[in-house]
Amino acid sequence: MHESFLNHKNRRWLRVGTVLALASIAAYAIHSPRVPPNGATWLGYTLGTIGALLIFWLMLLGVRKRRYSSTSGTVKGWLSAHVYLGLALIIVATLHTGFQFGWNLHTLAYTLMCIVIASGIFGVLLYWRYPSVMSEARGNQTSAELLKTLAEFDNQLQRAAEKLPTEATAVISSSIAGTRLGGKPWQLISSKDRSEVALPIGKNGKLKTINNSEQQPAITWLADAMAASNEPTRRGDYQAALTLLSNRQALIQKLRDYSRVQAMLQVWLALHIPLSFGLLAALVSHIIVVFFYW
Amino acid sequence: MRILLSKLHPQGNAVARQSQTIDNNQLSIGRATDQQIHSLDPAVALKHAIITTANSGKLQIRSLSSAGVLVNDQPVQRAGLEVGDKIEIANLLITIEPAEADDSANGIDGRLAVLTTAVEVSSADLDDRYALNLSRAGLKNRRWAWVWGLGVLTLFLLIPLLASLLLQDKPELVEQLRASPLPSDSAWLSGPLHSSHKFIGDACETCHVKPFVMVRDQECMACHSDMSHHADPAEFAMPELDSVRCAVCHQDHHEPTALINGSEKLCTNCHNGFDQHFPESELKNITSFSVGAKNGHPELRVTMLQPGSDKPLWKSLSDPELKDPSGLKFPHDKHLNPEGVKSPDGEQILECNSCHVTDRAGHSMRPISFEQHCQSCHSLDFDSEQPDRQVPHGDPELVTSTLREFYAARYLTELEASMPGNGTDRQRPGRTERMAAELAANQEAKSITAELFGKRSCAVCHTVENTESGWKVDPVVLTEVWMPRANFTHKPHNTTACTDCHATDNSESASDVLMPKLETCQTCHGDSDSSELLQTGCVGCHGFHNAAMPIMRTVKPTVETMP
Repeated sequence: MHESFLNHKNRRWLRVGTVLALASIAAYAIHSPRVPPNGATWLGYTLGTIGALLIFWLMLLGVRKRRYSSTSGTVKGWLSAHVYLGLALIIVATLHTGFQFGWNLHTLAYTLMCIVIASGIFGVLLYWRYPSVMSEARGNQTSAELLKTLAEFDNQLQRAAEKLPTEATAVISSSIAGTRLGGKPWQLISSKDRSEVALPIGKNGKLKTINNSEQQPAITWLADAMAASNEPTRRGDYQAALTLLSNRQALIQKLRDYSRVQAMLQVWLALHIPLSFGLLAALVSHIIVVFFYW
Repeated sequence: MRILLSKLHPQGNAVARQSQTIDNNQLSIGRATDQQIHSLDPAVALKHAIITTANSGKLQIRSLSSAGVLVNDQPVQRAGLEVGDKIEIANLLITIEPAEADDSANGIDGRLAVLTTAVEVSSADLDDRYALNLSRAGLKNRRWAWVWGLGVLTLFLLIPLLASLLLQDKPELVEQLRASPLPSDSAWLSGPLHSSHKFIGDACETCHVKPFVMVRDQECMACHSDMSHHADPAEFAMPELDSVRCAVCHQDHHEPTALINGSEKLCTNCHNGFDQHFPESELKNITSFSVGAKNGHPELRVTMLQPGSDKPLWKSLSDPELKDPSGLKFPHDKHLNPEGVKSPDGEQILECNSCHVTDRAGHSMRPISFEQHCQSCHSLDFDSEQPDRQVPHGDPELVTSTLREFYAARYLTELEASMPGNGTDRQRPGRTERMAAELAANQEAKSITAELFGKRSCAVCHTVENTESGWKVDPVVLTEVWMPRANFTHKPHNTTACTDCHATDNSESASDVLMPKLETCQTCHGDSDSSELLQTGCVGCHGFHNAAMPIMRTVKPTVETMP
């Protein structure tokens, strides 16, 4: 039975993270410094040290993942701890600030940390919502397989279209050419089908380009054309083309859903990883600076 | 333009044909969805070419793509078309077919046959066509990790740090850098300066002189050179106060500002358990200002001047023996009768501030004087014939002699006036007559003196005594500063009635001490963390640095501060 990293070892790290967060909150509640709470009281230094060590350790996940021969715990265990200790870090670091924020390096470090953790939460939610897609998405294998099938469909459909009347051939050809998939990050993530097709539905049979969402307009047009035809062979040709077009549409939808999840995975990683290096730099700067101007 | 467009579909050796007439002013060829002759070949442009009729009525082709078209194997951009011409565009082969007999009758301008070679697409083609992977959109995590890491490090650490270290001797350059949009140590400012320090601006090095060393006292004392000590160090050894840096208590850059530390913990750290630190001190242990706290604030004590003594009297306000020893007789209740008091001008209603007016700072009350505050009602007149004449206030002997002189003069003048004669030839009184007049004058003066001192004037306010050597008035001293150790000011309290704190209504005697007790303060003021009362804390009334004490810090000039 597959065990999610979220439930690793009976959620051991969830418990550790909760204890850390609650202990920090309790200490903050009890602690009443002579000055407003800040990072330079004894509790401030303590929480700051814990927070900094946590960030350094959380970033080591990237190293651990690449060391296949490492014996320091399983990657799944590391990931579980990464998630739960990363969540506890929000509490530890926020209390370290004493809720004093400003337009400065220190709050920059805090903000970067919040964005990194927020993107991490988004990543966890993605894994939680689409566990199988996410594990496959990393290999990029399904995408290639689906594209291979799509190419096959396109070629078959072209051949099937050749047997049909000129207008129908043009409709099929146009719907293949007008199929939209992928694109810019937001287009990948939005589930809108921007496909187009030119149908001879204008005045005097003029071509009119319309949205071909889920290939439905093209399929409907071909179905109507088939109904209007009274030659059995021709109807058979239409039927073949229609079946191919429908199957192809199902495949496209799968590919679209799949690449959407994959894009979200890439987007959160594209935030999570580079910004965590920004955070590391801001953290190191923060530590040096507060003691430089002590 | 009407074209008969035939699509050729090879089936074995035969060629099947699907025909359709197209009515349009042009025939479009391309890969875009709306082209009449459509191709899926990526080598065909979206709108590659158009076929139209020329003025002569003949067909012509025009390429819209720089790739052009092949007409009879000749690459052209534009060409007239004849029957039999072959147009080649990637996978499309278009032939101009001969016209048939009834074409003119049917309005057909030309016949075209299109042979499409199927374009086999591969998954690689589709991968190119559909950008399904964001890594194609420039999302290179490793590159952006470097950009973010090095970017933040350079902008927020390296540039400000190098500027701070390298430009130490060139303050004007540092200033320019800070004023510019370039990154500088302004980005390190962890919080705003207290308004009293705002003039320092972003010149961090004013206080942060040595890197990695906490702010030193000598930087504070560059301005605050005369801060006085908390208590006399000769009398009380306070190593913890002597060794502590100014910035331990006075921390800037906090929100809310904490430059003057209002927390009573700073005080109660020592003053709770004060008897153990300094058993010889009279000060009591204190933990809190709140009502009912263990070791709460002791009852307020007042200091009162004593007549005939240099030493003021200290008494707790809850002392049952508490009496103001001023020596004055003064009932507040009568004077503040809401219906008024008798005065030469009729009934007059007095207010507190008829007599008690604060000084300009609002701290204490201006002195009370007889002449200014009492005499308009309590006139020192003594003679009904000359009601404007008054005896001087404050010196009993002077009062006695004034009266004697007054009546001696009057009797002598009357005696002279009673002598026979007129004007310059008036007779002079004889010795016996003069002695009789003097005696009578003295008698009258004495009786008036006794009336003034003993009944009518002095005794109203003073304790008087008729001794062998003459009338004596007990001395009076009015205390002006009752709580010299408290930073109390009337100013912020002006919005409440005086009687809210000073119970004058039932005070019949000047020996009543009308200073408010601790509980009066506690109805509004609380500890610095109080949620219901005005957060005041110890320093609300008591300053830490006691102006009566010696200077707290004398920092020897070090190498850095020497010119």
